This record gives sequence, structure tokens and C-alpha cells, in this order.
Amino acid sequence: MLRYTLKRLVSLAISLAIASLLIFAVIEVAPGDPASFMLGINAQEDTLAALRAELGLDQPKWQRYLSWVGGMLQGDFGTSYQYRTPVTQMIADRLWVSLPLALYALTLSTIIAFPAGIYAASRRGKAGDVGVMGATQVGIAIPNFWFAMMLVLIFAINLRWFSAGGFAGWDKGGWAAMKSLTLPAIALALPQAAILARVMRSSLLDVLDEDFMRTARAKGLSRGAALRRHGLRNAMIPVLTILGLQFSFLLAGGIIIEQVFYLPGLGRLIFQSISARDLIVVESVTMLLVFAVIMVNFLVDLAYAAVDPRLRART
Amino acid sequence: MSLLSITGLSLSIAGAPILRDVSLSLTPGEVVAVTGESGSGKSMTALAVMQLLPPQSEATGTISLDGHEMLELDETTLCTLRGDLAGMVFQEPMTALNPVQTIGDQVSETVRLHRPELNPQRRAREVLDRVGLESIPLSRYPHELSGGQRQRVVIAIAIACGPKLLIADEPTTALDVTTQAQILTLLKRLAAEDGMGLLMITHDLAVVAEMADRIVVMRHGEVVEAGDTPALLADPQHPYTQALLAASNHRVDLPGGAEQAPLLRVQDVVRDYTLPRTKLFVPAGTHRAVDEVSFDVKRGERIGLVGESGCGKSTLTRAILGLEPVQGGSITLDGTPVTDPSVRRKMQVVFQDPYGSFNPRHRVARLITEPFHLLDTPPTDREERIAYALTDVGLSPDDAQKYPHQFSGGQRQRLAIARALIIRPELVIFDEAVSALDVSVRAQILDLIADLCRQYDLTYLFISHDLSVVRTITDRVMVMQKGRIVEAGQTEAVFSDPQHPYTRQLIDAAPQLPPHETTRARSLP
Repeated sequence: MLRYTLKRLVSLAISLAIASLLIFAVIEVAPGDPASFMLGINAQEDTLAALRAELGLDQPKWQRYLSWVGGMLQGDFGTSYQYRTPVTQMIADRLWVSLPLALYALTLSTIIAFPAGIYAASRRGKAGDVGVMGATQVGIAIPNFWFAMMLVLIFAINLRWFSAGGFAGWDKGGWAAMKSLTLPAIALALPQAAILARVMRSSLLDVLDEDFMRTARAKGLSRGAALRRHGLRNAMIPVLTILGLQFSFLLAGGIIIEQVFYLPGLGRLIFQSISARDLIVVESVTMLLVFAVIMVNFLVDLAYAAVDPRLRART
Repeated sequence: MSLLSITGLSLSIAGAPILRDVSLSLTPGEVVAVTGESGSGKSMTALAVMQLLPPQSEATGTISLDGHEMLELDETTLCTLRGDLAGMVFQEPMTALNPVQTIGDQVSETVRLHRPELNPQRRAREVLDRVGLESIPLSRYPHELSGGQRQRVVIAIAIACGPKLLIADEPTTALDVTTQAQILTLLKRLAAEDGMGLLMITHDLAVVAEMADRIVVMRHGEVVEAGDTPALLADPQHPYTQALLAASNHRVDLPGGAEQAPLLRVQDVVRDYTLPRTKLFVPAGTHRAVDEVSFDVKRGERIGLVGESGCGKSTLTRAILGLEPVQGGSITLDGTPVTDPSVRRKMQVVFQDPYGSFNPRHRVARLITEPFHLLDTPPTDREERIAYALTDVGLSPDDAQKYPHQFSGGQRQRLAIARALIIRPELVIFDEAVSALDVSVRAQILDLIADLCRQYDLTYLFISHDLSVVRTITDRVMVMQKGRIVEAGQTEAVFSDPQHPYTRQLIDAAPQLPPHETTRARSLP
């Protein structure tokens, strides 16, 4: 298990290094000079040069890459061209919205999907199965912005249980913050839950046909006990894969939901930075997301090994 | 007083009749074998006793197990009986255990369910010791064990609570002959020691000939004959039993082979596999799967290759087909190395699995003409060749437009042979080509191969773990163990007077039916 973990860590480091190079290179070739963007089209040539020097844009590319990576390693993502504030602080503020939102949505999605998937699998072909699978079809088909607007209409405007948008902030206590994240989390979680429930069901159905399930029944386990004790863990690998992908998506992919609910999250930050050619922010947020995705994959790999002893042995 | 008594059991699944009026009984300590070919309903009979039938099953009649009317009990009561009163062992040890749980947990689970007063871990250790796994810790996972060891674990699960009835459904079909012999001995010993009734389900009469007290022969969901083993084998009454016995002992009539210059020449072939590294700075180790193997196959010769799984016969086969790089030695066909693409068209293979070796979405005509791709100029008389090829293997030219799922297992194996022979290869490799077939179908396919030998002077390499098949279908045989050929010679000579201890061990382990006059020279109805 230790060897397996070390191996995964090495591949994690390599992936990060390659990703940072790629991100830097892509941003470099992208058109647009941040200095002229910041000073406007009427800026004097010497003012531009001075600003470029201040921003470090006149240094050779490799040196800028190294100072960028070195800075990130120390938690310094540079200074936003647009707002002249430290990027680290900007990202941290946004992360305090996006990370709890992603985790909230993922938790909801798991809480809905696991029982639904297990129930459908245990009722294969019967009315319960057909019903759950029909519901997941609808869940996948509905665009989440539309669903979000419906939530606002019902729970914010008609029932007035939640506010229609905005983020209360953590300084007013966790409850208020969580409350303002609830509708967005539901809007994000529902389609994810629908997908996860389908994966859970089909993965479990595959396992139910396995010979060892018959062995479990021949031992004297009831259908349900056999499914819980022997079926679930064997069905987890595909489910974990999807869970990992969904978390990565939820962290940044909530752009539309953030717009609908007017949440100051990472998605909006990256959208605004791209419009303003604030390349250092784009670079940093992208790198952060890549880091998050790679970390999640690493955790999923560890979870695989925890679930399946055969993977531990293979290293 | 009988332990198990089935009377007038009829079963239908989703309206399709599976069993009709099946009756059998078993007393404590008795070994009863239920035998028959696939689809005869023997496994369903076993599952009916456990009440583990597939959904939509409807059973009538009575199954009385130690005073319990199994067909009338509710699911909760059945759960308390399964694993306690009756244990069951299945065919596939590789998949019968939960891969993500230790064997200790899986064995002790049964104890925890039915005998909560016992210490489950200690009891698990005791039963694993009893089935001959003294040296295996409880913390092992199934993938760390061999097939034979896994089957012992399955048996341990089944006997952990000291059941009165043990049902074994084809317990040795997936195992090598020597492992099979050990497992059979174990089952028999356990039954005798505990006075358990043992219900053996098997398609192989030879397996049960030595251990069963009584044999029940089933066909199409009905019991056609039942009786004490020696009497039934010596004097089978029902024509189907007679035919089954004849098919098990089937001998084909091979034409004399033409001895000529060697066609396939295998010289000092070595195949090493690199093992995964265990330490960072130590070079990776190697595993020698094929160790300096040399032999010739002459044109017109039929040669057999036998050995247990893991002996290297599959690796050697792939090397002969040019699909596996070799680290030493050479393999040539007609003087050309087999890795040369032009050699490919001179060799064809027939594989074991008649279900997996065809693309289910292609029609027969396309499937059996696949080897035409190997030719420089595809033949112009394609339709005629298809018709000939199908007729040769006993099918009709009309079958060319059908899909593989429209054929039975035996017919698919005929298709596989047609596909192999359609470009008239110089060498055919039969890789366990009849192992998955029922005895009567197997006998027909063996006859077909003999017919084709007569017609086309086939040269083939017949790879099998089944000694009785190799004995009848080959001129020469090679015995392989741990990557080496330990014995080679004329088939009859090797079988009647084996020189190497391993050959002797294999032949002794292979179950055999007692020879009998009435079983000769009869064909299936």
C-alpha cells in the first residue's frame, strides 16, 4: 500500500509539472498585452515599458516561468493586472465559496444517488426500478440553469425560504452561508445525482450476476444482506471514478449556476479575468483547478486501493 | 430414513418447462451423482433443493430435506437453513469468492450467521485446516490463492456449520486433473467423516464413477435412469445412458498419417517473462514460461500437447503462431520463421470458446471467410468455397446467411473449424477445441476432425488438458510441465507405459470409466 501511494505521488508531481508548463505556454501565445490593456490605447510607449518592467513582463520567458512556479510554491500567485491586488487573496476569497458549494453539492448528490441506485438495482425490472430510472432520465435531461431558476421561483420568490441569490459570507456564521448555498447546491447536485444513481445501479447489477453473490446466498444471507455485505464494495470502483470526475466539475463548472445565483465563486472569477485579459489570474486559477483535479484523482486512486485488495497487490 | 427426498419435482422458468417429474433421494452419508449434458436440468435440481432458483421460477412437487418441506418455507426460514443444514459448492472457484474480502471473513461469516455461540475466527481456522489449507492465513484474499485452493475455501464455507447435506455443482470442472483428483478425494473424505449426504452434479460420468454410491442420469429435465453405480455403469438400461457412456469413452478412427519431412520445427525455444520489479535498484527478475523446448511436426502428423494450466502450453502455442516473441531458439514452418507474415496464412487456430470467438454481428459467410484476408489475391469462387467449407463440417450451405447466435455450441465449433480450414492451412492448431463441449457433442466433433483428416491429410497440434481426448485424436503426444517437455512419444506408448513420473501422475489422476462391452460402438439416438 505504501509503494502504491508513493508511486501515485510521483505521477502526481509529474502531472503537475507538465500541466504548469502547458498552462504557461498557452497563456504566453495568447494574444493581448496586459500592460496596454491596463493603461488603455492612448498610453505612452515609455509608460508601457515601465509598467511591463514593474509586472516583470520584460524578463525572458523561462525566468518568468520559474518565478511564477516558485511564487506559487510559496503561496504567492502574483498581483492581478486588473485590480492590483494579490491573486492569492482573490482566489482564497472565491474558494471559500466554491469549495463549500462543491462539497455541499457532492454530498447531496451522494445522499440522493446511493440509495436510489441501490434501490433500483434491488428491484431490477420492477416498477420501482423503472420509476427511479425514469426520474434520472429527467434529471439528466433538464438544463441546470432552468432548474435553478425554477428553484428560485418556488423557494425564494413564492415560499421565501431562501434568498434568490448572493452570498451571505462566512462572517455572519456558518448557518447563513450554508443557507445561501443551499439552492445552488441543489441545482448542481440534481443532474449529478441522476448520473451517479445510474452508474451505481448498473455497477451493482453487474455485481449481482457474479458467482460470489450466489455463494453469499448459499451461505444463508438474505438478498438484501448479500447485496450490502458483498455487492456494494465490489460495485464501488466505477462509482468512485464518477464521483471524482463530478467533484472536479463542480469546483469550476458551476459558472452558470454562479451567474444565476449571483455567487462570487471561482467560475465567475475566471470568466471576468478572461474578459479583462487579466492573464495572471487566469493562469493561477487554471493551475489551481488542475491541481484540484489531479489531487482528486490521487485520492480516487487511493480509494480504489482501499476498496479492492487486488489493486494494492499490483502496485 | 432419507435425508433428502425429491418427489415429482416439476419446474418452469417464465413459463418454459425445465424439470419434469424429477424424483431422487439421498440418505445420510450417501454420495449420489446427478449427471447429464448441458440443459438436462441437473444444476436446476440442485438449486431447487437450496431454493436459489432464478426469478420467475415455479416449482411443484415436494422437496423434503431433513423434515423441512423446502417448497413451502418462507424466505426467512430458508435463509436459516441455507449454509446450516445444507451447504453448496459451485463450479467456478475463480469467481465464487468475493474478491474484496479475506477468506477468513468469508468463512467466518457463515459461522456468525448460523452459530453465533462459536468463535467465528477460530471456527474458520478449524475448517480451513480441515480442507487442507493449514498453511494459508485467514488474512489472504482470494486472488492470492490458486484455483484448487479457492475451491477448498468454497468447500470450507459450505461445511463450516457442519451441514447434513453438501451439494457440489460441477466442483472440479474448472480444475486441472491432479487438482480435480485432490478435490474429489477431499469431498469424499469430508462426507464420510461427517456422515454428510453428498449430492454431486457433474457432466462427467468418469468423475463420479469411483466415488458415487448411486448415479441419477438426467436428460431434457427428466430422470431417465437411476441406480447403484457399479450396476448402472456395467449394464446401463436406457439408450441415452448407453450413448452417454459410449460418448465418454469415444474413440475415433484416425487414418494413417503420412510421414514426411518436418513441417513445423521448434528448436530450443525459450520464452522469458519479465516480472514486475520488487526493489528500485535491483534488475527485474524473469519467469521462464517455455524452457528450451524442441520438437518437429511432420506433414500429416497429428500431435498432442498436454499439461496442467500454467505449464506453458498456451505460451508455446502463441509462440508457434508468431504472436509471442521468443528469447531463444527458433520456430520455423516449412523453413520460414513463423514471425514472417507470409507464414500466417499457412496456420489456423480453433479456440476453446465457441461463444467468444465469433463477432456476434457478422453473418457466417463473413466470419468463415475471414482468413481470405491473409491471401494476396482473394479467391473468385468465394460462394462455392463457403458452401464447400460448410458442407465439409456437416452444416448446410444455407447457413451462410445466419448469425452465430442461431447455432448451438457444437455447431459453432464446426463453424470455427470451417473458418480454420477454408484456406487449406498447412498446420491447424486446436487449442482446447473440444473442452467446452458436452460429451456427445465432443464425440461428434472428434469424429468430424477424423473425417477431415481422411479427406485433407490434416497436420495439427492438439492442445488439451483432457487426456482421454488426446489419446484418441493424436499419433504422437508431448507432456509439458513447468515450461519443459518432460515426455514425448507415440500416443499409445506414452499412455500405456508412461516413463516420466509426472506423466504417470497425470494419467493416474484422470478419472476413468470402467470399460464395458455395451458402451462400445453405439451412437447417440
